[in-house]
Amino acid sequence: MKWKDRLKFIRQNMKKNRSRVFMTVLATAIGCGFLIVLASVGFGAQKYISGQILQDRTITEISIHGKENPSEDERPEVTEKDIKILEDVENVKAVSRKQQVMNDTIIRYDEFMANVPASVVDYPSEIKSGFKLEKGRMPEAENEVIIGFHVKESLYKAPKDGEPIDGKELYNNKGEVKEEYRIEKEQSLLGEEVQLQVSQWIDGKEETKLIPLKIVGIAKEPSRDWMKDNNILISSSTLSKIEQFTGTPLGQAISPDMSEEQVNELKEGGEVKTFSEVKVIANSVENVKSISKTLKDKGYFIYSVTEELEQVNLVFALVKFGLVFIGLIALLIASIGIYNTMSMAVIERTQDIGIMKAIGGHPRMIRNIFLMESAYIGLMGAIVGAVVAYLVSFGINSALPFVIQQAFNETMEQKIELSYIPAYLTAFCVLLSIGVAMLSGLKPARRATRIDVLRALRRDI
Amino acid sequence: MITVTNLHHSFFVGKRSNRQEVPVLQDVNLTVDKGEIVAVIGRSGSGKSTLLNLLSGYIKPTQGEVFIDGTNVTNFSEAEWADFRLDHLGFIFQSFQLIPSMTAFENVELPLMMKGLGEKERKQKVMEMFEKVDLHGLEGNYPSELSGGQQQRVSIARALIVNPPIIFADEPTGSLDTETETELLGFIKYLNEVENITFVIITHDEEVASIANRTIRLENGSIIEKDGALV
Ligand SMILES: Nc1ncnc2c1ncn2[C@@H]1O[C@H](COP(=O)(O)OP(=O)(O)O)[C@@H](O)[C@H]1O
Ligand SMILES: [Mg+2]
Repeated sequence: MKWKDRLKFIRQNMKKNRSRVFMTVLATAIGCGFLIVLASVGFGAQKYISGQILQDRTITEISIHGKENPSEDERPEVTEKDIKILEDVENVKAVSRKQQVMNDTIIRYDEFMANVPASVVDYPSEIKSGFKLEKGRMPEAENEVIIGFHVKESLYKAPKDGEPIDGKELYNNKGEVKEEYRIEKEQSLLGEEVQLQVSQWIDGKEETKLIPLKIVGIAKEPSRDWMKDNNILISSSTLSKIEQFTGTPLGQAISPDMSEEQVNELKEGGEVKTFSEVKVIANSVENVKSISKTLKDKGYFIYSVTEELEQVNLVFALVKFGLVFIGLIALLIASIGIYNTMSMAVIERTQDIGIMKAIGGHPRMIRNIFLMESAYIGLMGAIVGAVVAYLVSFGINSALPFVIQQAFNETMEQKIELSYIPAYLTAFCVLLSIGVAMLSGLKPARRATRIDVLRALRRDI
Repeated sequence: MITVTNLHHSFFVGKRSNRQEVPVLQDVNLTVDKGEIVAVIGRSGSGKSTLLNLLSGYIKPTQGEVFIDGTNVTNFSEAEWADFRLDHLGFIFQSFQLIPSMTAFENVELPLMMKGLGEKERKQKVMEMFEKVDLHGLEGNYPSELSGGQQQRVSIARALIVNPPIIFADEPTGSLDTETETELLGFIKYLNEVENITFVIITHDEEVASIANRTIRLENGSIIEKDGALV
């Protein structure tokens, strides 16, 4: 029997009991739709959280947060010696590190000023790690610096009397410097002379020092639009100047309420150069795992997004499994409906089947017709279910902002897709529905093939 | 064409604990040659239908062998029987056995569909067949919209559509009035003479037996008379 004929045949059969078939399709659709929607929440949440984890980091990055068991003469922080070790690990492309100036550093330009965190970096390593300039060049001379993309925006007109301005007065509700205090938009800072101000309590008085610097480069805008780069990158000799002035390593500020002892401790802390924000960059994502392991074995505290993602994915695999399991129950209930419908169909058509068998109908053909009929119900249910699931998913995602606003009185900045349906989820659920439908139809179909011809024909014996 | 040797058949009735054997056919031997009409006659309950059901593969013999068209069909599986029936046998039943939800056309088309013929070819063959059985114009009618005689002609059309060499008929005129019966018997005779189709007809009616070349008489499951001679 040809496929086309079988299809015609089962269509005809299904027409005989439209309402029953409709209800069965409906049950399957609910099961399939429920499954897709439930799983989609798992996928949506996973996507959202993975996105959150990934948003400001690169997946080839491994952060180093010090050492686990430093020996007697070692410090727990990352030192020059550690950097060497890190750079020698296989498949490491670069080791990005920073020496952050621990002072209230302020940049001054004409009548403008801004608080800018200052740090020393190793430029070759930064370039290898993907650092890029928006404008200008890399520093060469000791007084040359690179400023962050947003430093210009954060400059504001310094008050004449030296009194600090109230934040409410200075910033608008978006946290930007108000128009009247801002530097002109057209003004370029590239090539300009600026001064870096550091301060320290020396002999019970707050002293300040201005270090003249020249801006030769502006860093590229951060990839995420909500990230602000207000940093200034200085040379190590500039850091030395700062240290000379403050008398403390990394220009650490002494507060007036510190005891003599604390001050001395602070001053002596810095014989060994230590780094903050140390990041090992792998040459490819595949190597992150092996590098992470090596670093852990060497006793470093590490963190990598890739590793966290792996854990998150594992958690979500479990969550999705749970959701799919619940969804499967719905589908299983639908399958009972299909089983029932097909059993009824077989009983109702006993005579027809008997006649077909009597004149040469092959048991396999009869079984296939019934299997196809249940698959057809499964397919229709799956299609309806999938369409409904997409609508429900769309509805959930559209309603979410309103719900959040109502519940928390807060508007969402980002669009959150709570329900996300990847194409393969739909394909999987549709195939699963058809599979479950066929499985439910298997027994009735087998029963159909075993129908006794004579009994079915009720031939006069 | 058909050879039956030493055929025995018993039904088993009752629950497992007190199962009883009911012998229905004993030591049946017969042959049917190509192009013959053989009538099996006997009183109700003598085992005629059981014999034909054995020849059709609807039940399996307790003992003995059946050869049809040169093939030993005794130990055929269900699947083998299905293919064999479709290729070699046509069936006519007392109560026509048309599928009520299908039109006359679709009922006749069914065996061709099962054989996997294309739609165009099927349509042509079925239309020709409706001409042949003189039912032209009634193709779209459902069995319930046809008279008994018309229904029986539809069932003959269905039996003939795959050109089987043998047709089995169990009480083919049992549900028909005398006039229609005569007509049908004439048609069977015609098919036998013109198309050389072999018929095995079961009946309790001597009138039907009159078109047969040979008659076999059954009584209590045994053949008591063959070709007019007592066994
Ligand atoms: N399925 C069955 N189970 C038990 N006994 C049966 C069955 N079919 C037929 N018989 C018995 O076999 C005998 C012959 O029946 P059958 O071949 O139908 O006779 P006929 O067709 O000649 O009237 C009858 O006595 C009948 O009761
Ligand atoms: Mg009978």
